[in-house]
Amino acid sequence: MKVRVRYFAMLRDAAGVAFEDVAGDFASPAELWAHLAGRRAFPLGPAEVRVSVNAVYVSFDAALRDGDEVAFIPPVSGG
Amino acid sequence: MFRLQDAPLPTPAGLLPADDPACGGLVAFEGRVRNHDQGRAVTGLHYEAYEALALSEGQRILDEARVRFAPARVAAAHRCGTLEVGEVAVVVVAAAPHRQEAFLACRWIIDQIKERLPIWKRELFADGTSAWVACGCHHQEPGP
Repeated sequence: MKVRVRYFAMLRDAAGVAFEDVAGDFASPAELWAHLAGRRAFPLGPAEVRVSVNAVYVSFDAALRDGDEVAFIPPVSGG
Repeated sequence: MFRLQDAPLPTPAGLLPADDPACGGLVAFEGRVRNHDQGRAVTGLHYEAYEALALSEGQRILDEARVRFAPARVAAAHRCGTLEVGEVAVVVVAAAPHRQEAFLACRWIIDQIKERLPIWKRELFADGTSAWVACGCHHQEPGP
């Protein structure tokens, strides 16, 4: 499967890209995060970020499907 | 309707016209860029959003407010891009038959926006440096 991962704010700075397509066998955002965090020096841990799939907030153990757009949401600061 | 835009935001009256004769109270909140934060001089803010999620989540907040504070009428808009000190970053308007519901709905919506909307602000300091405002500790501040 392949998913598109989008990065914002401090996670985008850490990743060096705004998005990337990642191939692998990821059952959930939790598995995807573990894979990505093994390759990159993220400044945040999984307990500090939320996750969305196809622009809807979901839990870290939600199911992932081929072609999903996944975003790990660092602490927000709107307003 | 929830709006997210690069252009300057409408006024509260432009966002939610006070044209409902059943609503006797209207409360508006504007969040503006201030010139300081935690003792440092700030010259502006840069807002970045995950647009698709911000639009759907912003709409969800307004829909929830309509149920929670029925029959209140509500609207909100958030700015993106680079703003100077004094510019309006967010507008929330709530109208209701009586003032109590209008105040409560407006307060609830801005609190939800600050907690849930995928928008990040980068502070631009007078000394030329900049930094993302997002450390979790920000939630404990009294707010704008």
